[in-house]
Amino acid sequence: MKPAKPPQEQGEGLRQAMSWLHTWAGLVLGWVLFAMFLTGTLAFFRPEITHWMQPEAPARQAPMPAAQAAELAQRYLAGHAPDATRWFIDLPSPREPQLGLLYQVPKPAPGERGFKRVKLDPATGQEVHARQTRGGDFLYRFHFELEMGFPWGRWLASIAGMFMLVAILSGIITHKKIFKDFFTFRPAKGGQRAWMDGHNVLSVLGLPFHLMITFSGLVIFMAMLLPAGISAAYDTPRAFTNDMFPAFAQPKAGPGQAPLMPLGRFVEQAEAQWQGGHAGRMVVSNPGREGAVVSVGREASERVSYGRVAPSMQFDGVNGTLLARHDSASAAMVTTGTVIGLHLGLFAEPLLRWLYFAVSLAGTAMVGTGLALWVAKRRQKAGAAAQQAFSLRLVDALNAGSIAGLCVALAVYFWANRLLPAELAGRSAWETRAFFIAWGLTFLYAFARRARMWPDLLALAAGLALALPVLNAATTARHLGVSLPAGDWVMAGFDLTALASGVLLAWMAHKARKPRAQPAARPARARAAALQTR
Amino acid sequence: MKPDPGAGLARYRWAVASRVAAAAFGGYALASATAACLAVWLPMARVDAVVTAMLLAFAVYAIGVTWVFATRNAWRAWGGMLGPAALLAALCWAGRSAGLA
Amino acid sequence: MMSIAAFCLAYAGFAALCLGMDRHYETVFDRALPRRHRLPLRAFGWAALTLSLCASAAVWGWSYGTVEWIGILSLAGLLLIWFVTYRPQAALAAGGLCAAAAPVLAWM
Repeated sequence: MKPAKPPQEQGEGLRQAMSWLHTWAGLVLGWVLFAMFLTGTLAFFRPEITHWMQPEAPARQAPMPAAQAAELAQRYLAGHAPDATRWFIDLPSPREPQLGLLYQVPKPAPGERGFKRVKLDPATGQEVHARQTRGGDFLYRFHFELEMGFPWGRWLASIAGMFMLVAILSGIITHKKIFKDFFTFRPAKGGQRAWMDGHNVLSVLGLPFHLMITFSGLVIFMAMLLPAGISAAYDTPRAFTNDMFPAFAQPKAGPGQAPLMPLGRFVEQAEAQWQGGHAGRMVVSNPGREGAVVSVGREASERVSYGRVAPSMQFDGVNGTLLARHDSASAAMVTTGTVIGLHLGLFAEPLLRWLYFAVSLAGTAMVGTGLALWVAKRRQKAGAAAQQAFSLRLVDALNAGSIAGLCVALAVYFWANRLLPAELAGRSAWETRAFFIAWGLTFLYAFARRARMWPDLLALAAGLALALPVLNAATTARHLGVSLPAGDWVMAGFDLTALASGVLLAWMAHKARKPRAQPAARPARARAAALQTR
Repeated sequence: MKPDPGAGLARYRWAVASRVAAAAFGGYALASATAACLAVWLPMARVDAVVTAMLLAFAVYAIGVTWVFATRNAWRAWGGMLGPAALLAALCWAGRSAGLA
Repeated sequence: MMSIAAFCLAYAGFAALCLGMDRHYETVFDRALPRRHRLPLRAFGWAALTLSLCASAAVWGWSYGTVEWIGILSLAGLLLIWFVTYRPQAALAAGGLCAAAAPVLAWM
């Protein structure tokens, strides 16, 4: 393998070194990064995906006013969780009109978790009755935890993110003709040239997004990744967390019982202070006791910087006095909040959200074309003998499993959602199991059937995606025939996106079926053809 | 620019491994030292200084890693990471002793 | 309407910048890019991209609008490149169409 130690010449040496760095930084964790990018892309529509996966849930309507919803939540929680130390209430929003509740269970039964998550239907005040599923949350969590235990998953994801950042920087430095080749895409040339052009175009056009999303992704985990910054200034991590997220600080409970005031008034008071701002999340600490504190946080989607550090107010839960008001308005907080908010994209209205989706998909394709380029380059350079080189075969098979295989697995996840009976116990675990089993099988197939792995897996993914709306029609009453006339854009949007994905995958499968271009002959023929047309 | 087989290849691989280590671990040391030093010295409220410091530290880490592979040899790479890291760590310690944080 | 105008301006701008490059001009017109065309094409291209930012800001304000604009640029650019690769004349003609449509859409 040719090394890229820099020769004496400065310019060429730097570019060569950066090319080497870019290749390896991209390849080593490229498969992980592809999965993170694709699930992250889908996660921009997390609640919409969850909604599609629970067809029994009522169609989205205008959200209930926050104060009313807060009291509804209070009634439910007072009845179901009077002894909990903390209640978390996600108030209804246009994208998530259901009430999301989370409460700590002081003495969980053995084998049960210490907190319970519930979704209430605001119209009835009862738990939403829909099939149990992890929905879009599975994809969202996979994106940054890779379904690995805490904290290993997020560490691996963060390391991958760091590799990505280095790949971006080295890619910028090594890209020779970044302006000249801005609009250049030559798929007809085939082989390495076509993949390189495609990779370049996707990288350069989406560069602001890719740089932003990668850097901000790391910033989200900054407390975990760079604890030195915290321990240098704070005695304990908890002190930092309380300063950074005052809404979640846990005050000590008083000795006796004391009734909690109606939560609606806290919402109204806070919203009045914010002059039209809406309440998003509430945290009630020590409900029903002395020393109860009610924290009302502002809706995260109202400003970019509110994504994780929204302004909040803390009230005494028993007598209603305002204890503290945090506006997170310092330049540092707004900057950090904006960086994080840009990653989460919670602030994005529908058009921008689809732009995020499209450019993120381009980023996913950027990683994918990069992986394919590695194989194409080696294949072209090395000639017949090296076609059998182990590293080449291994990477190609891993590529097929990670890229085409992941598409298959995602389709299977949605298929499982519709096929598994709604009343099946533990069905959400079965859905994710189906995802991983399918993904594993695609890797096995890739290693077993190297010659046909790409067209076969892509065709399978295409078929599953195209058939998804049909499956929806066969198993529920909320298919395209119903959702389109009714203007139910969540359900219809999912089905239509599945169809579009299927078409895209089918096109890719078709392209993958073509016999591989003879790399040496092609450029000569192309040059001859170009000369003739002049 | 092919290395000689045998001893040359091994040497090249050691050099690469050394740079990777300098980038990964030396870089992390530099990033942590940057975060710690800035968290102590930035003239802002404590929580503001800490988040600003961490934001900048990530940028330093990324640029540092890139530099490690651009610089002339692995020794310079290590020096460029650990030298400033030590300096920043010392500054941080000095600041804490002086009661800045 | 103004948001569509912003997209049209972005596409038209990129199309002009693309046409202002020797390689792509030759693909469309089968002759070398004449010097007197180069500057106007590039000037128009940059102007259109800037106007796209203004249109975006008109709809969403400057800070939010800038974020939208970056997204619009990325998408418009990718679409243009896709189109230009397979149907260069049509792609660039579409650019002209967008340039004409933009003021109409902005005014509506």
